[in-house]
Amino acid sequence: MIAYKFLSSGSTGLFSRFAWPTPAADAPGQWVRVDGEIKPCLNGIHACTRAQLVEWLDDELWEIELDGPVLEADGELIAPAGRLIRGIENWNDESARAFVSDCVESTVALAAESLVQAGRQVEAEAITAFRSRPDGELNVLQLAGTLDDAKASPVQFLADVVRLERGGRPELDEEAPATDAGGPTPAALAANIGFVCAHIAAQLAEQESAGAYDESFARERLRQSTWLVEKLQLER
Amino acid sequence: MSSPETSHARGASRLDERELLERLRAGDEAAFRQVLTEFGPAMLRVAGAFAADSQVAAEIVQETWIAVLHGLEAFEERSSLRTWVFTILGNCARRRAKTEARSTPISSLNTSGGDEREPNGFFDANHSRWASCWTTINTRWDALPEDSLTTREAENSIIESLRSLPANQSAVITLRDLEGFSSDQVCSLLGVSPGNQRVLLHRARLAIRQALEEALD
Amino acid sequence: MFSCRQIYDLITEYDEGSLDAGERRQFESHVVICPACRGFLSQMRATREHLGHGSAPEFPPELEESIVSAFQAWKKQQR
Repeated sequence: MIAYKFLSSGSTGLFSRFAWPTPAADAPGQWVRVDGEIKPCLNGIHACTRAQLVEWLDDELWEIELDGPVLEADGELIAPAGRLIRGIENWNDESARAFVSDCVESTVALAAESLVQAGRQVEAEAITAFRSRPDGELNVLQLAGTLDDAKASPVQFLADVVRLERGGRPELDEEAPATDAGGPTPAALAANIGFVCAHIAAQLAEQESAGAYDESFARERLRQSTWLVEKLQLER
Repeated sequence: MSSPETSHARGASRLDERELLERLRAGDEAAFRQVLTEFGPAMLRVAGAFAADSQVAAEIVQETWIAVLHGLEAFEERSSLRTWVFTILGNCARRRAKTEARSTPISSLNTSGGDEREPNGFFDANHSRWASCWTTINTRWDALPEDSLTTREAENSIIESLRSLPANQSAVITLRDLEGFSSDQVCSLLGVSPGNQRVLLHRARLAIRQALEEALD
Repeated sequence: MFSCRQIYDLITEYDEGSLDAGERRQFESHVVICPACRGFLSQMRATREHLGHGSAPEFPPELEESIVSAFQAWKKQQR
């Protein structure tokens, strides 16, 4: 079965730090096998389907062939053996940044809508214009600073996103270091922003209607994954 | 850090050990000096984890070797020589620690610096948007230049923070992370449960990381 | 999904292999989406690796000779 696998820079597993044998020009990478009983998250070769990609974003995306009985559990595929078939070149720093932009745009639209509905025009306008105005981001940050923390406001969420997108932290003014100085890679940021935007969409929905979190979260993740599959032109 | 207890090494080292043991029992001084050179520095380091005073640490090591010599005949070789010697060291050290100022009963969990660590590192559990999330950026240290962790400043901060750990945390991290003993070996050496050992190791590792982070800033 | 605080609290159990499959899953899926926790994990690893590569302190020659003397005394007693 053909599936997908993300690896960190250097073709290593994020947690295992195992260096995967990569394909040559004319041959797939060597088979990697595990011994013993296959247990999700504990023992086995892990991979994911197209639909699950957004949950596992990392620096490198590979097509992987899985051998043996493939278990599907909790958003992952697990098998006793796998080999890398080809690298998906379309997944790179540029597409990671494009993914982030798309997520943020989607969040802006949701947030602006919720503010308009609440009759908060000034905030809605600040949010809608935050990319196009020269001081748009600063505006959002300043506005967020004036708001009361007790109930999460869309403007505050967006201010959080502005900071996270730069590799920083919510409510922290400090600039993040560059990737090669220990800051997050574009892919790690994409993983973060994708999650955060889904979380924001879900929080906003929850504020409107109790119990709406899970469904809204899933919906936003599905939107993201559809975007990604199309952008990367994934066939399998 | 590989321990002699890996399966391939075990075969080879057991053969050497058998011969070494025979020579030791026969009173071969060269053999004794060999074992002393091999184990001594690590023993001193572990003893130092129990005893703040380097004089006391040296005495613990000396007492251990005397006990080893007296126990040579009866040693049943159920474990490796190294494990046996360090078990005796653990016993001597704990005995001494009880009578010294820095003593902390090994099996009791020292709560100092436990839950209070990083009080400002996380958003409050009540935060409306980021409950219990990191407030700070944690840079990745895999991207650091190779020699960042070996600067004098970094080395000193490690030495200092190891020294200021409670004895039980210091003992666990020294045995596990500096000397490469396994979790099971450390539990039996120190007479602690696996759960306790994990907590002690956890706190010790967090303390060293924090000290390094401050030094690297 | 776990919070950053839970990652901080559970990291040693994770490394020791004492979390169950469900907990591991939650741990890993949080770290993937959290740069702060990715950084923290790399720091803990680098710390451990660095500790493991250090060399043991010098063994004072006086201590060595004192212990060898004890050996010689023991040897005499054996006869």
